[in-house]
Amino acid sequence: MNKEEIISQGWLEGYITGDLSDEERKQVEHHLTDAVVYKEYLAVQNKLESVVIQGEIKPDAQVKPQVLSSLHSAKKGSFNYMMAASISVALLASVVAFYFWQKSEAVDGQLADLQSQNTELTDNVQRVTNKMDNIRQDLSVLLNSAFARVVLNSTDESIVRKAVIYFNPSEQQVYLNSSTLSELTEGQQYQLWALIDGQPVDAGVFDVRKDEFQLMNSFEHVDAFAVTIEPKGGSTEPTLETMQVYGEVG
Amino acid sequence: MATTIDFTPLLIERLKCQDESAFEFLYDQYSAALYGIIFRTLNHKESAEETLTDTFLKIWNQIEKYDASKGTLFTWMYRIARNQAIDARRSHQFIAGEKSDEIDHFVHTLVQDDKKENYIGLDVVLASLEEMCQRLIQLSFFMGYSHAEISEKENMKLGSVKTKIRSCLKNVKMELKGDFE
Repeated sequence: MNKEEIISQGWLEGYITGDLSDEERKQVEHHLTDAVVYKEYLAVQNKLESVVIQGEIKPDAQVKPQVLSSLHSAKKGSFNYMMAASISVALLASVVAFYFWQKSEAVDGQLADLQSQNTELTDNVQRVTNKMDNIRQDLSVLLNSAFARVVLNSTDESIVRKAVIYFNPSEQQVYLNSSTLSELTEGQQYQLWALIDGQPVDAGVFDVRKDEFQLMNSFEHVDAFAVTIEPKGGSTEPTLETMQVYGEVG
Repeated sequence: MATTIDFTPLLIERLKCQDESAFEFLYDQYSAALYGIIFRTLNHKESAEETLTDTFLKIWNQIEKYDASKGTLFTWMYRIARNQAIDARRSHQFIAGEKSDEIDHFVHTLVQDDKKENYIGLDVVLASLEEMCQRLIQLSFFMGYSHAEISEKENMKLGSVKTKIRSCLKNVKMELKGDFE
């Protein structure tokens, strides 16, 4: 639409009553910057104002105080809305805070659980690592050709039992595998003896270990090894009657 | 009205400062004109009074948004009143009877019943216009009907409705000059 059409085709009147689409309204507003259109727009507005005022109907006198008091109640109302809104917000905040407090309690509990689990796992790893170190050490003993394998057989042929010594004279290391010996009563311990030049020498007391070697006292030269049962803590002289196994170093 | 127009910028300024005495002045000046179109749109006293209250409340609350470059204060208030009345008519649906009869009912009431016309107060303004112009001006400017609705009810092309309303309003001005000045 051009400015002549805007004036002559009733677009200004439609603009005043709000009877145009958004697109039409924008076009009219665009043309309002034109002085001629704007002058006509003012003229139409004044005309309409005159007509509407000629058609005025006085509202009842009690409407005015109602309108004026509605201003106050609107203000008061909005204040109350504000109050209500802030109370609502406060309540909501409390609820949310409580919710998160509960959440955090639960999370704290979970955290403690996880921490203890973590400690347990660390302990387990430590145990496994230790065990693996032992096994590695035992394996290194088995694989090391410097160690002589000395089998100690039962002194009572009717009973099957044995112990195995791994003896490295150059490194002066003695490892004992006692896994097939039977468990002793409280107050008793096995004692290993090294026979050196016909004399028994204490090589250490031990309890039965099923799954690992034990490092015993070491010697440079040994003729034979023997195991006796002694009172807990061991004896200075072997009790020959309780000798369990015996083996000579090859 | 010349006095009011002179004071309009000052009035707007004080309204924007939420000056209640300025608002009371505004009510005294314009309530009857706005009530005139609201009542004719709704044709129901209580609803019209309620809508008038809503209209002034909206004027009070939205005066900050009034932009003088887009029209006079009266045009702005007129549009608010018209829209409030249209909304009230739509939402309350207090008019009994079929919608298709609405316009005929109003036009009958307003134009053809001489005694009611006196009450409505448009007879002097519109008397010398042809009947079609009387109908169009009432429907469009006083009763909140859109161009599309008028086009349908009066069985006229939309473009013709616009152009006709334009020329009718021009004629009213001429009559006003003749009668009142």
